[in-house]
Amino acid sequence: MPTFFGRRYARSLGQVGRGEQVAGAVILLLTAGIVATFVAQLRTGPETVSEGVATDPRARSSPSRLLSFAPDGWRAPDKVDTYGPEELYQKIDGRADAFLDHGCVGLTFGTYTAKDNPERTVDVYVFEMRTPDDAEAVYRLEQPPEADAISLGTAGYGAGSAVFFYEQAYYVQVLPAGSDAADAVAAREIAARVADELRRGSARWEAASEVRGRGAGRRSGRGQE
Amino acid sequence: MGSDRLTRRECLARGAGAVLAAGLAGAGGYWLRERSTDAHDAARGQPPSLVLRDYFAPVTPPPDAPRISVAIADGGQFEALVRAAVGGLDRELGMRRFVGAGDVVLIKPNVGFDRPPAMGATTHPELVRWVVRLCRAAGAREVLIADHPIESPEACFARSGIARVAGEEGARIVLAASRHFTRVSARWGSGQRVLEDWPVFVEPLRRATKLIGIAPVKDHNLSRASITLKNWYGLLGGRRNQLHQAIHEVISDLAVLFSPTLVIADGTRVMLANGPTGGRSTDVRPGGMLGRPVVVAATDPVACDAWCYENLLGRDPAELTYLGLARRKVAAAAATGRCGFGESDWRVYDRRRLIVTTNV
Repeated sequence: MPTFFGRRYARSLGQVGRGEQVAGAVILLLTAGIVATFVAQLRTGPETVSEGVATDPRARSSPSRLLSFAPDGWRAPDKVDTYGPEELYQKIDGRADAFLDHGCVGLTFGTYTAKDNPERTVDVYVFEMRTPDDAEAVYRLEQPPEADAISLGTAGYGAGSAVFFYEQAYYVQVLPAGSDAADAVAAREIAARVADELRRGSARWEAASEVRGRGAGRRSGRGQE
Repeated sequence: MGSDRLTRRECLARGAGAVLAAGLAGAGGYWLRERSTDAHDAARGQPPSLVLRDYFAPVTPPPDAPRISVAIADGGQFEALVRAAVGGLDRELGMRRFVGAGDVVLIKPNVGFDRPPAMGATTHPELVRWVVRLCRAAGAREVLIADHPIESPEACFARSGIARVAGEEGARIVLAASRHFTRVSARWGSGQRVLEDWPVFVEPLRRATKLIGIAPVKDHNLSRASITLKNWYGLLGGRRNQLHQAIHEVISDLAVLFSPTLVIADGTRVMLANGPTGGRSTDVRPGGMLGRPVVVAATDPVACDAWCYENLLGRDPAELTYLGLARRKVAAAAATGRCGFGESDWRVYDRRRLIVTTNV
């Protein structure tokens, strides 16, 4: 006869019905699951910052396609990260509020790397704004008065080796780490390709936009109250 | 009544046992959850000494020692800039004024963004290198480097070049884990504080005997400037973007929450616009408005920020709200024996000849 803390039970295991056994097993499994979840939360802790990368597969695949092109001598981003409005501060802490105030609903980010030197990089930020007017507004906000206009997207300019433009509801920054001519050429090539891609607006990219757009409604969730 | 049926007494006893067990489990869980904050709650209103160690107190320089030391170079001579800036605070002892044999020095650079050094968003790695070397030469037993960027810490340390320099110089980078945070209070003296109960990355602070902040000089979208005081923001945990709502109060709280041994402002590349993230080389200029690389060492972080705000960012310190707040809070803390100096008007030191400038 099984005992628990010395207690004698009236029924042997063989007398316990199948339904009761299944219910008991389910309760035990649920208990184990609760304990495992609790332990996992203790290990990560409440202060641990999440990666800030959207987990929706649609939101991840389309931006990857957007930054899949690479100029000669450069590698396309190994990883393309997307951030919803609530995670924007994790990438651009301190400037996130300015973008959110102008209707930013998401960011796609990737880093291109030169094949011959991993320290030569080009960062690409694609900010998705609520409307083309919002994109233009945030573009104008950051545009220095002496900027050199370039033919790119709806409007664009160069600043050093970096390139900035907006196209439809997207504001794009293409930022090389270096300032030599080769970096500037690569930045222009990448920017032109991104502008083309945004102009074509593939169905998958629009689907991703829709996903992130829904997130915009939750903007007040973190620190924006 | 058959042997497999419960009696009423047995049913009541089992029910009571179950309720007792559930109650004990709940109370135990609650105790475990609250245990970490109980100690802080008990100490509310008093300085939590472990976290808020005064790293300045052991090295308080003579009253007539310079409070701000400015080194200006014609190029990127990092060694000369660092030696001249730190040496200006004590011509005889230099770094030995601040670091002694056996010290564990914690260096807090700004590694807040996944940006290369040229963009000026992070502390220049060569500056970190030479501060590590000076600390070693002064007898430091160990040099720790810590920051808690919101972006991937590994990526930020790697991209900033500071991970490489730390490896080359034998300094140890301490990356944050959740167990490294403890809730602390910036309540010293009277007055309201935003940071009355906030998690801080205390693990490296607990181990350190000296604390040196090295901060780039940057424009900041919300606080107007990010210099030596804002640099401590990087050791805060929690959802610190919530603190943006009261950014000047928070930065001035940092002036009393952290009492460093020494601060160094990195003006080798000053981000004049689009901070704090930047990203375009055209926003960055060596020395900012001075036009030449500058390194500023100071024993008064508030005055250091004021000097850099005016001379490197080219703006009026009177409009920088957190400076005045910090001055008042440091004065209140000083009344309780906490903190060193907190002068928001750097010209006070200029008139008293407590600012030295060295061309290297």
